[in-house]
Amino acid sequence: MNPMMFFADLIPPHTFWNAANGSPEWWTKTLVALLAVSVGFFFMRTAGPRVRRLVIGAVTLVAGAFFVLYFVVPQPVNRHAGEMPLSVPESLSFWFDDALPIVSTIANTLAAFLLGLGVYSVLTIHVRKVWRQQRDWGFSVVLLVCIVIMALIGYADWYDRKFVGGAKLDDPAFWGWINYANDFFFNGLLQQMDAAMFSVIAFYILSAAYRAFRIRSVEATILLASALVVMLSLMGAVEFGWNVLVGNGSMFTLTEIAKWLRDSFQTPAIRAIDFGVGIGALAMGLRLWLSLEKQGAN
Amino acid sequence: MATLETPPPATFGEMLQALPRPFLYLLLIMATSIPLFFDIHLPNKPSDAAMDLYAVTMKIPEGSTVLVSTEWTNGTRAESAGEFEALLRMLMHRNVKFVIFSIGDPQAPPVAKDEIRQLNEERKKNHERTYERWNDWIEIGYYANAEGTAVSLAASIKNTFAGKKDINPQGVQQDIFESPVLKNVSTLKDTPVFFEVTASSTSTIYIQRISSKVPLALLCTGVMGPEAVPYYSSGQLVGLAAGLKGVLDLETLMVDGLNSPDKDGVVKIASPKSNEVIPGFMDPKFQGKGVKYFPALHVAMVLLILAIIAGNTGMFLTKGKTNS
Repeated sequence: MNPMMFFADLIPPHTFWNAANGSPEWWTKTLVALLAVSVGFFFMRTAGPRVRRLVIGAVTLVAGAFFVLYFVVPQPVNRHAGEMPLSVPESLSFWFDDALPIVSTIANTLAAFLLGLGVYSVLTIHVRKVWRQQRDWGFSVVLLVCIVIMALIGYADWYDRKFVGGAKLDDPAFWGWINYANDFFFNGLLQQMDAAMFSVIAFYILSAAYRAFRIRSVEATILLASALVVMLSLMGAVEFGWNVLVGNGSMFTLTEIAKWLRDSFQTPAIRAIDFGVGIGALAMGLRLWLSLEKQGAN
Repeated sequence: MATLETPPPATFGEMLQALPRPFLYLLLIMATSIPLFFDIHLPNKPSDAAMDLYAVTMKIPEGSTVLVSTEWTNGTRAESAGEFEALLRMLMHRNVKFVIFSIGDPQAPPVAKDEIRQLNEERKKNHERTYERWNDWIEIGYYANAEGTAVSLAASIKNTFAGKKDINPQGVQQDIFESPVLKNVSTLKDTPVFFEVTASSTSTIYIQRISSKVPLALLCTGVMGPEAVPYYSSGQLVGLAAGLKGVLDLETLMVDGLNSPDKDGVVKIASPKSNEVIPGFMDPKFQGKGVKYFPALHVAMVLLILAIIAGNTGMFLTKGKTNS
């Protein structure tokens, strides 16, 4: 078995960018890629800051240009398998259509490397902390031990389910100790701690609402009244009682008032915010794409 | 060393403004936990958005395949797990096959699989057909690049998930597009609805990238609800369930149906948009996560309102005294 197969369950269709696992073509492409990356890395290490900035800017421009052009170029309609383009624009359209999954796969692979980079960064910081016995290094030991245990058991469980036990391991009756261990660490500990962390927000919300939600101005009063109506409308018992009191067909039912608030004020306000955010994101995206963000380029 | 100490509250107004934090926290713990021990059925009127979600889901042709992007973990399980469960109950009732995957959180697919396992155990107990991996559902895993994956999905499902394999019931690794779930699926047009159960910002990515290609239905957390409403009212979302109220709405609809008369001929839930009758399918005694958890949220909101009233009353009492 190819050693790389050990880390992936993805066997993509044959393109220029891949090959059958373990084939001479696969090895050749892997070695060429490694060589290219090494040369690139060495070049970037030795190059001056100006050249480095230029290379990063060029790569960013080309990478961003793909998705910009994909968005602009008309997409093929009802394209059949094996269909040949009849014009230059159609060729362009077909090319983008064919290139998209490959570019997406490359982008996914790069994003996955970012996850690896994050793990590397965490490991570097905490191993150093333990090594130098800096303040609270005991917590770092706990973190490192947890990372190693979770990674090993998680991987063993994944491998067991993917290549050994298969779908029958969806039934806990067939679980082995590794599946129970993974269940204990992932569902029993990690997920429960995740839930506990998130539930802490409820305490902050109550405390903050009690201390900060005060009627100090007209604006605050309007805000508080609106929030109160919307909150009450979400409380089934209160909503039911109020609606019965004013008559179910009335326009003053809590449901109708809350709906009016949502449709007339909340939704337009959020739309306005979204427009602002969208324009801001577009401007920021352009600056990043064209490497106008000096800090990023440096 | 001298320390600065806050003087104890002298008046009732000051006392109301300075309720100790541990006291508030204790009240919150009681408010959210005690209702869980009681069987409380609160009246509920489902929102229009939840009615649309129910109608869209219950009208999916039997045997077809839908994609479910699952972007939640146990951090939001009080809301998201209920939404995911309610969605799967409807899909399983309609014999709809589904594909689960994530573009937001690598932990999400295993958590979703756990929910499917629990639902299957429940179905087994009720002598219903269990949903089999490979034949009825497929899990594709996590895709790290959310934008790229969504753009690619909009172009072609087949190309996006190309090469993915899973184990068939015979224990052999096989291309997922040879499975009964995906054998007739190539693009989003081959799927009647795209569902997203999310606790993250991935919803905006799908709205931007694929809502023009396939009807998109969203099941999100309560805090995300207000942000999603503009997309529902613009038609970019064909249905929306937000937070625990959304879960309760779906569970109420699963029991009472939509425009569906009960044995006395009374329509409990009438859609403002359509007269089409979509009956419920769950037992009236059914208690999903929405029914179970909503009373706790109800009491917690009462506590929140009381806390705000207490703070403001204290402020006014103190202000009155200062002014005089």
